[in-house]
Parts: sequence; C-alpha cells; structure tokens
Amino acid sequence: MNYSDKLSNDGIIKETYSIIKKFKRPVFLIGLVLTLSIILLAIFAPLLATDPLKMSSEILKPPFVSRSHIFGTDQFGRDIFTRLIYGARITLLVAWTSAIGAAIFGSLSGSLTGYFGGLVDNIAMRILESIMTFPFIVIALLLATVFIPGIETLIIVFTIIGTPSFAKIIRGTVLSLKQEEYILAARALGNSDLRIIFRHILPNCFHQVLILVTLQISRIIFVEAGLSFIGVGIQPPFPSWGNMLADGRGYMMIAWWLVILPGLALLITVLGANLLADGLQDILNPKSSGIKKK
Amino acid sequence: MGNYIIRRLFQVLITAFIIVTLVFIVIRIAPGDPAAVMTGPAGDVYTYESIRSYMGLDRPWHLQYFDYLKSLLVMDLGSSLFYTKPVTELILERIPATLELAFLAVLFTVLIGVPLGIYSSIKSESLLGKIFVFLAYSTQSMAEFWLGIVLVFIFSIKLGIFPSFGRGTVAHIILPSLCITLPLLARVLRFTRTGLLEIMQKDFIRTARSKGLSERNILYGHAFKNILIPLVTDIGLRFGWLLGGMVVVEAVFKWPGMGSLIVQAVTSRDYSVIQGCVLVYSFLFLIVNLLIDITYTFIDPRIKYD
Repeated sequence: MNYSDKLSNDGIIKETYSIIKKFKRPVFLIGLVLTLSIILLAIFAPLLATDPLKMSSEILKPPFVSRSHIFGTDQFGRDIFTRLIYGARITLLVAWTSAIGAAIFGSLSGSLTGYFGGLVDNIAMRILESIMTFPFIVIALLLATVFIPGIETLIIVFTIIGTPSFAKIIRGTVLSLKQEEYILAARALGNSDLRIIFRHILPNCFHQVLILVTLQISRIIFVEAGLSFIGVGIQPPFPSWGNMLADGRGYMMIAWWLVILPGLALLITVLGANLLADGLQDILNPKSSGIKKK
Repeated sequence: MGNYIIRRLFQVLITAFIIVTLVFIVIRIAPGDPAAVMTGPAGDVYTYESIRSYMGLDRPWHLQYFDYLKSLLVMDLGSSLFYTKPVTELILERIPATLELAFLAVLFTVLIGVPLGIYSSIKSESLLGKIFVFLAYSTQSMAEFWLGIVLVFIFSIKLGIFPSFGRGTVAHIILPSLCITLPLLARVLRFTRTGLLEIMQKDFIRTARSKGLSERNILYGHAFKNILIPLVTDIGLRFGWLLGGMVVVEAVFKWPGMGSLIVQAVTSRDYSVIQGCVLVYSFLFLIVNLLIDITYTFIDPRIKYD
C-alpha cells in the first residue's frame, strides 16, 4: 500500500468515526431504542403472544402474578400483554403508513407548486392553509364519522390531514433552494425541470421530511388513540390502546391495570418518537434550534 | 396598522370561505345517506322522502350550496335532530364552558411554564433544572385524556378531593384544566428554555455582560424580550391543538362544552351539529391567529405591516 492510499483510508475511517460520534447523543439513542423496540414487538407479535381476541375464564387477573398472563387479563379474560402488542401493530401500521403517505404527497405537491409558482401555487397554498386551520382531531372526527370507521379510513384521513404540513415545509425549502447557484448550474446544463426537482431539490429536503415524519407519527398516535377512545377509530373487539382505555375505564376501581398499562404503552411510544425527532433535529439541522417553528 | 388589519381580515374571510366549502363537500360526498341514517331501518319510504326534502337533500347540489351559504350568513346552522333545537343556540350555550377551560389552561401554562423555563435555563446544570426538563419531556408525551383518567382515579376515586365530572364549582374545573395544562406547560417550558439558552450565547448578551449589567437585567431586559415573539407564535399555534385535545378531555369529564357536544353528535350521527361545531372550531382558531398577528405589533414595535 502506498502513502496516498493509506491517507485516503485514514480519511474514510476518520469520517466514519465522526459520523458515529454525531449520532452518539443520549436523546437520539434513547428515542431510537424505544421506537425500535416497540416496532420489533409489533412485528413479532404473533411469535410473542397468543390470540388477542381469545377469551378465557380467568377474568381481571392482576399483572405480574401469573406467568401465562404477565400483564394480567381484562374483563373478558383476554391477555393484556397480547392485546397491547397487537394494539401496537395496528397503531404503528396506521401511524407509519399515513405519515409516509403524507410525506410523499406533501413533498410532491409542495415541491411542484413551490418550483413552478404562479396561480396554481397560490390556490394550492390557500387550500392547504385552510385545511391546517381545522384542529387536527376535529377534522379527523368529521371524516371518521362520515366514512365507515376502520383502519383504512384512519390511514386515508391521517394522510389527508398530514399532507399540508409537509407541503408547507417543503415548499418553503424549495423556494429558497431555487435561488441556489447549483440549481442554476443544473438548469444551464440543460436538465429538465422534473429532473432538477427529483435529482437536486428533493434530496436536499430529505432530512426535513425525516424529522417531520417522526413528529407526525407521535401526533397521529395521539389522535388515533383519542378517536378510538371516543369510538370512531379502531372498532372493538380489535385492540387499540384507545379503545382498551375506553373499555377499561369502567373497571378502573377494581382493575387499575386496564387503564394504566395502555396509557403507559402510549406514553412510551410517543416519548420514543418525540425523542427521536428531537435527536434527528439536533443531528441533521444543527443550525436551527427549538426556537424556530417546527 | 389599520391597513394591515383590514388586509388580514380579508385573508381570514377567504380562508373561512374555503373552510365552509370544504365542509360542505366532505359532508355531501360521504357514502352514508344522512336521511337514511335518521329514518332508521324501520322507517318507510314516505318518512325517508319527507326527511330528505326537509333537509333539502332532494334539491340540486348547487342550489343546496347557495342555500347553505345564505343560511350561514344569518348564523343559521340548521337544527339538531337529537336535541330538537337550533344548532346555533346549542353551540352558544356550550361555548362559554369551552372558552373558560381553554383560557384557564393558557393562563396556567404561561404563569407556570414560562418561569419554570427561565429557571431551568439559568440553572441548566442543576439537578432541579434537569428534573424539570425530564418531567417536561414525559408530560409532553402523555395523551390528555389518559392523564384525565389517571387524575380522576387518584384525586376523585382514591382521595375524594375533586369531583370526577360536571361543571359548577371551582373544584370541578381543577382536574380538567390540569390535564389540558400539563402537556402544554411542558411544551412552553422546553420552548422557553431552549430559546433562552440559545439567546444567551449571542454577541449582544456578551456586550451587555461586559458593560457590567447584572445577570437579572440581562435576562429580563435583553434575553427574554427576544423569545417573546416565537413564544407567542407557538402558544397561538398550539391553540388549535389545545381545542383538539380538549374535545376528548371534555368527553372524559362530561364537561358541558363544545367538545362533549361534538362527541355526542358523532355517536348519534347528528350531521348538522357536527358541521356547526367543525365550523365554529375553525373560526375560533382563525380568530386566535388573527389576534396573535396583531399582538406582534405591540410586542415588537419594529414590526410594521405596511
């Protein structure tokens, strides 16, 4: 190996090391671990647990007493641990699908309207801003009521109401990127508008989309739990943390675990997503701080 | 200033018009037929047709739309089939309770959250400051309605200090306002803290220090003023969240506000009430944002909107 090879190798090692060092932040790592463990539990739910709908005669067993029901059972004798991780499955499916869906639609509409500008851009932005004036849960309530409640409806509803926030942020970034010299250079080289958007502009928005996706996920998890709690989200007997809370509320006096455990599951998941979002924000956007509008 | 307010009012009107139209479209494209829902499975064709014509559903779309706009202009939101009352009257009865709760929550948040945020930024290395930040992180991740259930469990059922539902005395308002306040307070605490920590690194703070100002003077005279605008913006943006979070909290505490009204309307499929509540919620949010924009001019005299 000659000298210059060694030098470049060292460079690569140094660079990798500095990247690893960048990600070594407690906030980010705790968020990552929490989020990943919930996702793994949800993915491997069929291996770790039994049937979430199976009833038994052992009703209202307290947690940490029996080995077969580590988190106890509910009023129908269903295993709480099983229902919690199956609930995680549904919740995470809804949250991730709709957050990613909103990210795709939002990035596309935001970058296209921002790049081309003009009347369409103006009208699109007015409509998106109007959607954003509805409180999230109120519009979700409206949509979830007029359509048949269920997983598909929730995903569609959250994708629709999530889109404006992505579109708005991406549009802002596109407007500033459009002025950059490398975009001018790309245009001078004869690249088409679409190629510029997809090859040069969207990749530069990626980190912002990533941060917003994690934030959006925690938001959707909250609203989904709220909707299921009221009865227009996930319909029983299928478990969701929201409808488990609604069911368990009536038994609160004799079985505290029916309301505490689903709430803790919600807390841990949302905390994980929030920490992850904050950590990503610190790592990917070191210049902007919490003081800016997220 | 006057010009600016007129221009903003005009913008608000356009947004309001779009909202009104969107709500009309969403309710009309819904797969369920409201008239069929109200007639019920036992109803005959005659009842169905009379309900349909009563609701105006048998008329062409564009005529329905103009009727709808006309009735909105005179504040007529139709009448509720569940309560057999005009929706406007129902909402006007419920609004004070919702605004009371929202106002208290924002008041508590500002009175407690901002000082705690300032404290945890000055003493950012102390144990208490770190505990505040940790508590803020975890409270922010709690669902308001779950917090409500847990608070009822502790303070109403176990300790019997506060009533678990209803409205009337001061004791009634404590638990619901607490569970709306806490997550918002956590947000404001962290916001104030990060903002101050960043501002304190700025050059003008160093200048202020080197000319011998007291830390107190620097903090309140120089640093704090600079986070007021982002802080007010953020609280304003959260107002929509606040109203949203309150919907479920009101349902938990049977608080007689708009939140429990809309939840009730959702379960009984009372379309005119749902539509009315959605419109009123959005208008509240629009008005709050308008007020915030106007407040800016008072906080920062440099902002001139002309």
